[in-house]
Amino acid sequence: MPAKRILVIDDETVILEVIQGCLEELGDMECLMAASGIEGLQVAQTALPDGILLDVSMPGMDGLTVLRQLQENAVTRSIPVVLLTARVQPEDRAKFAQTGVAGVILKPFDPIALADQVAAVFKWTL
Amino acid sequence: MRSTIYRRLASYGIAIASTVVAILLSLWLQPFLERTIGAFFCIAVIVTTLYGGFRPVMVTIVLSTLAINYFFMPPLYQFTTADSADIIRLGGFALVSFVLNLLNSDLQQSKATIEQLSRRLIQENHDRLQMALAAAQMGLWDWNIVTGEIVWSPEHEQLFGFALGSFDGRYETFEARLHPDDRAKVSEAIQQALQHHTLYQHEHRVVWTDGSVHWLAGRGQAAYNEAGQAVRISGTMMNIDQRKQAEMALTRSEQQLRAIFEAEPECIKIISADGVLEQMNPAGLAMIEVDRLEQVRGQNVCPLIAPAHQQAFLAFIRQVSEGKPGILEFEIIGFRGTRCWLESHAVPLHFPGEATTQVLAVTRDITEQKQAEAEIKQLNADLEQRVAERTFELQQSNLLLNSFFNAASSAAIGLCIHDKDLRFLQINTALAAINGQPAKKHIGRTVAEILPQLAPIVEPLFHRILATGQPILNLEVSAEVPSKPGLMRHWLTSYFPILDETKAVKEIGGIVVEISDRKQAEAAQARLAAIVASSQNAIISKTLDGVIVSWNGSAEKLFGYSAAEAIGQPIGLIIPLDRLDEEMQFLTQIRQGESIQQYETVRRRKDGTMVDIALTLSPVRDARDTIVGASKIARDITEQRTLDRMKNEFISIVSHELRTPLTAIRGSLGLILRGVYDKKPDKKHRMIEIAAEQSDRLVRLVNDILDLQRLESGSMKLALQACDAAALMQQAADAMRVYAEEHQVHLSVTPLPISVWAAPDAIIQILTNLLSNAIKFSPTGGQIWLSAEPALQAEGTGMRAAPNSCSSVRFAIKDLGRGIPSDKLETVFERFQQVDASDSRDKGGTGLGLAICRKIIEQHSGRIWVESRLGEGSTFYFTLPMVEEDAGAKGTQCQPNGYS
Repeated sequence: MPAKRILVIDDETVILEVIQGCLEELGDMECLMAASGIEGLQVAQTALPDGILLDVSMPGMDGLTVLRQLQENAVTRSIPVVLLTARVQPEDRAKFAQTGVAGVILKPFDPIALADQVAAVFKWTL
Repeated sequence: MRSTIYRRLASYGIAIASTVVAILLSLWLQPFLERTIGAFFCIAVIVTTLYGGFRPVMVTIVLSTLAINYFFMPPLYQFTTADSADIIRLGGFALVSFVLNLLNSDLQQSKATIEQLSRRLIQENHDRLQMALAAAQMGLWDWNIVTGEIVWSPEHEQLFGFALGSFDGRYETFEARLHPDDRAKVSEAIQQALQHHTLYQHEHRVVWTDGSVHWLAGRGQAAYNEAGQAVRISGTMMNIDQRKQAEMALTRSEQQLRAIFEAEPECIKIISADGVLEQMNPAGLAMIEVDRLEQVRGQNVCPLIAPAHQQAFLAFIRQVSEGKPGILEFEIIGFRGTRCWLESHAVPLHFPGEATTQVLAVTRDITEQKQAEAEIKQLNADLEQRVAERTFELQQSNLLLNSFFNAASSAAIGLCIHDKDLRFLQINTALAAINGQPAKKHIGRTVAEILPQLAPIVEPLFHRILATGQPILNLEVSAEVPSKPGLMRHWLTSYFPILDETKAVKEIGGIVVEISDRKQAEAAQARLAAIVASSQNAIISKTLDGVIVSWNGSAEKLFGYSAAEAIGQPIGLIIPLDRLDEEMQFLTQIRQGESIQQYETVRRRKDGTMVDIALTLSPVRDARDTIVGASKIARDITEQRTLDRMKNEFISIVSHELRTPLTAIRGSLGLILRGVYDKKPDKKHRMIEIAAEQSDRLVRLVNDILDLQRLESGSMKLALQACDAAALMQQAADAMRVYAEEHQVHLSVTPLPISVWAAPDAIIQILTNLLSNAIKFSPTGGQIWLSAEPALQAEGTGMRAAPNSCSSVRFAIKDLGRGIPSDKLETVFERFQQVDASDSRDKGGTGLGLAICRKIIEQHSGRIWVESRLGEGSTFYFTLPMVEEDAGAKGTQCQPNGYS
């Protein structure tokens, strides 16, 4: 079974590195990484990953904007998205819940459980 | 004398003669008259007694006796008697003759006496007559009509102006003296008297020679002969000048009286004691409505008197006729039926010689007076009625006043009345209590005696009222009173004049209402109003129907509507359409007495923009605790929202910023612990490196956050001091030189040896931060310049420097990096602001450095800003106060503006 391909979009490169380690080493997933929202849209449109792990707080185009564009784009509309955020306020959660994402993972996350957490959200079988 | 002798001799002669005659007769007649001889001698005696007297009679007796004896008694012709009887006869004859002589003598003597008396009497009467005539100026006249001779008495002559004895006795002379106008009448009167055998009476005038005219009254009685012809007329004449004058005066007086009588507008009448009218003037006739006196003269006036007054009238007339003058008012009914009231002043009128007394009455019509009296009486009655009513009203009013005074006391309203000497006449218990003295103690005393501290305020008011008569209303007076010392009290006073009938001020009334509580309430209200007015929050009140009733200044600022525009409008003026339901809900809750606290919502300004507000609504109650409206306090929470948003965002950002390195740390360490990279040492090392770097980042972030928090809260007090700018620059450059070399960026420093007033460590922090950013964003091989130069303190602030103010030093850090967009030039100094995706975050920055720099510079009273061009680089500037050289030389230090 080919590995699930997850596009991770986060402006923190160190986060990208850690997530890459968590998902590839512990989740046997293939990580595609993008360090900005614009880059992420480009990769999503071209690579058509199985899922997108999207950071919310990014300079320039933030994660919600990226999400909206993904959803508006027929090509990427069906790609499930999990928001990755350090914003833990209830209003943030309520706002995220209305975006139609598959799930929200808070930072800091458990690196060991991240892969399982992502698979569970995407309803993947690892 | 001679006549007396002759008379005596004659008497004796008569005696002798009579005897001789008797002798002769007796002798002659002896044959015929034997028995009468003695008679003849008696006759002789008688004759002698008549004409001789006593002594001659004795002669006669003697002679007669002798004669008788000689001639008639035998023996004849002898003087002897032969017969005793003859002696007796002779003696008897002598006796008788003696007696006759005595008697005759007595008789003669009596006659003589009588004659004497008569003569005397006649003389006396004559004298009296003369005197009377003289006194009466009456003369006697006698006109012998036959001879034409007129004899006047001396008085008569005088009456005609003749000198005594100068009247010639002629009629013509008499007539000439008559007044020419009277001559014919005198002559006619004489003729009438003579013709008709009547008494002559006539009054006429005579003109004396001196021209004076005199009135005389002549009376005369004619004597007539057997043929009935007047032969003589005699009479009297008297001067009647005085009488004529009196008559003329009387006539004039009578004419005057008559004129008065006729012209008198009042009735003058003369009536008898039983009311019979004898005289009445035209005014009286008119009064009783008759045309002529003759219609009523002789008739009783009582029928004209109104029946109710007739008895009184009769009694009055009787009383007056008995000599008691009086006044009577009575009513009459005229002949034409007109009723009128009369007032009659009556006096008794008694003429001498008349038995009865009449009544003279002057009567005036007092109908109008009576009517007026009746009216006055009615008016008086009305007036008395009104006075009684008024008195009752006054009594009631006094009672009411007293009740009012007392009631006012119950209502704590002080009432007082002062006289013109400012003394209390009346005071109620309320005011007495305010003054701290019993009410009775006030009476008769002045304000100065009761309340000396109030007198300077109150007494001038009293004097003004007395002078002007105008009230002084609603004057607030403040003072301490003995009843509550130490407490300033306030009263609302009104003083007003109490006027008398002449509209002069007679008393002063006062109304005193304590308003201390009200003043306190007003002060509180004023304070509240000031609070409301000065409140930064919009304070609005509205009715339960949502109509705006009040609108403070902050409401004007917040919503843009002026009070005049807003008051009276529905509150929906500022409510967005989609929020109207909540307003209805508010009003419902308010009606139920509920309050709404800090309800966050949105309202619409006048310009249409929305504003976030927090509402606090409370019910407004009236004095009866009835909810009549709502009070709304609207606090603009835009800034708060912004701050909250910023805070939340900051927290979110901080949380994010903190969580981000934590995520990297946890993730990297977790992978290491899991042994994921046991077989990939490079990866493992990388993870450890990530953990270490992110830990450092975390530390820096925490430090920066804490620093910024302390700077913003003011808990970080920078210790400013004079510092050498060159040293600071050099120190910072040295700290960053290695970093610069690592990034292959050349750092050029131009130190400025000038004193600045600063906290050295904080400035070094700023310089290192700015140099770090410059190095980070400079391309490889780039150049960075650090310099400083003196500048005006206001430089960069856009403000004009104050004269003689300290200058500043402007530091500049210039790089040739990518630059900053113009819209970010201010935001870069805010927290966690990133220019773009390639942020210093990735380069190890916390995102708080420039914010911290700004706070530090602000505490130095300086300014920090950036000038940049995209793609060309940026220059960061900040200013610090410069320490003046002379101040520094003297050892003093310049105090930067604003530093405290």
